[in-house]
This record gives sequence, C-alpha cells and structure tokens, in this order.
Amino acid sequence: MTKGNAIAVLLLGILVILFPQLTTDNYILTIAIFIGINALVAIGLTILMGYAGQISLGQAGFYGIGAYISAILSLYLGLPVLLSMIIAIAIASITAVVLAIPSLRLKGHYLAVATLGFGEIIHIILHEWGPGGPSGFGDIPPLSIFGYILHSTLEYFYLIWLCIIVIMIFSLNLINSMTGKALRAIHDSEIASLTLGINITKLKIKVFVLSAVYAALAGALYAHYVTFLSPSGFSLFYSVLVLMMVVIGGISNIWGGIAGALIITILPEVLRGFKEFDILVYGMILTLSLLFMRKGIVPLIIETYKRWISK
Amino acid sequence: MILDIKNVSKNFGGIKALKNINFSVKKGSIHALIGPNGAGKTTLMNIISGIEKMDSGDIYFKGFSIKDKPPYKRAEMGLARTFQNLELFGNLTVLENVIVGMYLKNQRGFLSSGIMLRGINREIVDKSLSILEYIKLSHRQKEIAKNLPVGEQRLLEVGRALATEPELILLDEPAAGLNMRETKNLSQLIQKIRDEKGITILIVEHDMELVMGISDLITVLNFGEVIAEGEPLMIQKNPHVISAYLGED
Ligand SMILES: Nc1ncnc2c1ncn2[C@@H]1O[C@H](COP(=O)(O)OP(=O)(O)OP(=O)(O)O)[C@@H](O)[C@H]1O
Ligand SMILES: [Mg+2]
Repeated sequence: MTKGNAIAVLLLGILVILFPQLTTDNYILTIAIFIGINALVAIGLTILMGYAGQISLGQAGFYGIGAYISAILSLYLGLPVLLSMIIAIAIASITAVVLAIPSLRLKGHYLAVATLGFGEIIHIILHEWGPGGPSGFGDIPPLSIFGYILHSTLEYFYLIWLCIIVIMIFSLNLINSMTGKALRAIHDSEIASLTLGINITKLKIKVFVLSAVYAALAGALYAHYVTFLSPSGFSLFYSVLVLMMVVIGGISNIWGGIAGALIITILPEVLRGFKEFDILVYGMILTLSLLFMRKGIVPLIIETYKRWISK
Repeated sequence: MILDIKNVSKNFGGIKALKNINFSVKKGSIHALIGPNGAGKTTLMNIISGIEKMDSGDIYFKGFSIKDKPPYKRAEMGLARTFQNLELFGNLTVLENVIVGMYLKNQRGFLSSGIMLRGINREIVDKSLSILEYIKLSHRQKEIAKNLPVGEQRLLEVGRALATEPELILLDEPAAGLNMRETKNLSQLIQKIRDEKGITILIVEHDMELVMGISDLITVLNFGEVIAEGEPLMIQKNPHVISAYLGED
C-alpha cells in the first residue's frame, strides 16, 4: 500500500471510531450501515471495472446469493451464522468462476451480457422459489461471532465498517502488488502483457471472483442485520445502482467505491423534501454529474488537490 | 538450434503473407530477418510469439513444439519480444514497465498479494533498476512511459523483455525512428546482450548497416517466401536479394 493510501485508511479508521460520538441518532447510524453494505459491493465492482476493464450487470445476483444462502442455512438448517456466511460466499465465488470461464475467454463485453442474464435468473429464482416467494421471509438469526450475538445498531455499524477497512487494506495491497501492476499493464497493452507471461484470462477471472466475494459478503451482512429478506432488493435495479456508485465515485481509484456508495445511498434521503419530484431531481443530479465529472468524484478531488498543492 | 520454423504458412483473406517458411536460429547467435516492406516479417514474429495463429506448419522452441501454446506459456519457456508498433505500458512509469517484465518470475496469488504489507519487494525494484542501468535509462525511471521519445521507448521495450530473463529475444525493428548515435548504441547493446547474457537474438531490421554489422546469419524474406540465407557478406552480393530490394522481379 502506498503512503497516501495508508494515511487514508488510518483516517477512515479514526472516523469510524469517532462517528458514533458525533451522533446518537439511530437513523443516521442505520444509513451509515447501508452505505457500508453498498460500499462493499461497489469496491468489488470498482476493481473489476477499473483494473480488469470488465463490466458486471449482475452484482445483485451475488449479493442475493450471499444474503439468501446465508439466511436459509442459519434459519432452516440451524448452522452457525458465521459458517453460513462463509458457505454462502464460497457458493457465490464458485458461481462466479462458472460464469467467468466461458465469458472471459472471449474478447469483448461478454461478461456484461452474461452477468445481466445471471442477475435476472437469480432474481427469478428468489421470486419463485425463495422462502415466502415474492413477499419474502423473516426471523433470520442475527449475526453472532463465536457465541456473541450482535444486537444494537452501533455494534453492526462497527462490524460492517471494520469489514470495509479490512477489505480496503486487502484491496489496496493487491493493487500495489505485482498482480496489481500486471492488471494495470493489461489495460495499456494486452498483447505486451501476454508476451511477458501474464495469463490475462486467469487474472480477469480472479478479479471477477473477488468482486463476487465482496458482493456476497455484503449480502450476508445485510441479511443478518435486517433479519428479513424479499427478492425486490436483488433485482437488476440494484446492479445498476451499484454501477452508478462506481461510475460516480470513479473507477480509477477504489476509494471511488466508498464515495459513490455514500452519495447514491444518502441522495434519496436528502431529496425527501422534494416529495413527488425526488425521482426527477435524483435523475438530474446523476446525469449532470456524469456529464461534468467523467472520471468520477475521487479522481477529480485528487487531481484538484494535486493542482492546488503544486501552486 | 533454439528455434526451428517448419513449413509455416499464413494467409490473411486473399493475401499470402507467409508461404511455407523454413529456417532455424542457432543458440547464442544474432540472427537477422530482413526483407522489403510487407514481406511478412512482423507476421512471422507474431506467429512465433503466439499472438497470431499459423494456418499450417509448426514451430519448435528448444526442441519443443509450441504451436498450441498460448503466448504466456511461450514466455514462461523463455521467449520474449519487442514490437514494431511500440506496445509499452504507456500509463506506467519507466521503472514500472520493467517491474511488470519481472512478473513471470515473481507472480503471487491474490491472497498473498492482498495480505502482503510491502507491495513490491526491494529485490525486484533493485533488479529492475539494474536493468534500467544496463539499457542506460536510469535517469528516466520515474517518467511516464508514453512521454519518452521514440528512441527511448524502443530501448525500454528491450529492457522490459530482458526482465523476463529470456533465452531468445525477438526484436521487431528496434532501430526504427532512431538517430545515428542511438542506432550505434543500440547495436552495441544488442551485442552486449548476446555476449554477456548469452541470449539469442532474432532481429527484424531495415537499417542495413546495423544488420550487416552484428548478424551472424541473415534470412531474407520477400513476398512471404525465404529467398536467401547466409552470412552478411554473401547476402550483400546475392543477386536475388539485390533485385528484391530494388523492386525488380
Ligand atoms: N492482420 C492483418 N490482416 C490483413 N493483412 C495483414 C495483417 N497483418 C499483415 N497483413 C499483410 O500481410 C503482409 C505482411 O505484413 P507484415 O506486417 O508481416 O510485413 P513486414 O515484413 O513486417 O513489413 P514492414 O517491413 O513494413 O514492417 C502485408 O501484405 C500485410 O498487409
Ligand atoms: Mg513489420
């Protein structure tokens, strides 16, 4: 990890510790939890788009697999929650491998198409055969870690943001490693990368699996936090929402995933005042920011900061 | 023989780019592949390195058929190359370009990369720096590769290829766009690579002074066919070669 990123992670850690001191409002903590859950999915997609040059329109599918499988295993089979989560994440990653092998062997955006179909299939399965069908099911056991059951919003806030910090450290290390350099190299020249011995297909598959693991982890955390699931949160709409987070946050920097999740998650809350016009204003803000901040917010901030420093 | 080209043919639609090519490259030699524009030299380089498929024939590297091996497997076996139309990692720094060249010998899984605290270890960086020194590009290490002048970009491609620790390097017009002084340095560098590192060189080049000065053997290609092969002095006198270059037929 570079020095700048290490400092940024440290600051994030301090912010996470101090944040609950700034507010005792459960509503705000709840929103912070949802920002965190969305950020996990968005960080994975940022790496996939920014470092493997691939688009997924099916992150909701992995998010759904993570949520439903972990919920079902713990609720109906009585498995410990932690174990259920691990199994759910493993199943999501196997699914990702199966999906990626045929679509990433070919050049072009087959993965986008394949994941679009995959996401829809998962949504239909949850809708038709998930417990409770379209209306969903509840009573999912809360998270427990080695016998300690998490109850309060505050505890979930800390756990989820701890997950983000761990995931950020892991991802930043990955990007700064030989593997990360190879991924950036592939961006500039696939041909040269191949002749240097880089197995491009394998690397892309691995990045895709990584994005699926992050999404499934987010889904499982969501399930055990909310303790109620219905298929509506796992549709194409959610996949597009995550795509929005990534594009608005900026694909060239994985901090963009967190920034995008923050904006897209709080925007509807902030826009409540507009009543029936909220969708309109929401759409306008997204369109304008895409038009005027092509690279996304985080890269824009860094560029501005660098320009300011050099003056 | 480190490389054997056996009956290799390649068509692009109606164009017969390569017709039944046969020749071998001796281990430890500097072997030149020359011929007029469009003769098929780059096509053959692409086929040897595996980024283009041949229609028929076979290629043996160190005695093993590599026809069905993907490019990254050929690189693992010790084959490296440079590109006529520069394929540098333009947005990476000069140093990073060489570091990526060391990927082959230093790759790690995702898990160990993710939990590693130090990104790329000192040893890799030092090795890359010594390669930059070898090709006399140390002063450019922090520069973004695409901002280098063409001559230095070509050198960097050579450095990146060296970083894979290859046994055979394919150079596709390494002197194109270089001035006289740069060409002279390149010529010395190529000889140094062969003499000091024992790496075999297969070079495609239009600069005849360079080719004649360093090659042990020259193979001449014209319209996708081998029309001559021999030592520099013989090739210079060969009437087929002379007429091919003068454009008579
Ligand atoms: N991808 C391609 N599609 C169609 N035709 C091609 C392709 N690549 C090469 N050719 C044709 O094959 C022939 C050989 O081209 P090649 O690039 O191998 O020549 P060359 O000997 O490297 O020439 P130069 O000295 O100009 O680099 C040319 O007629 C070229 O137009
Ligand atoms: Mg050529």
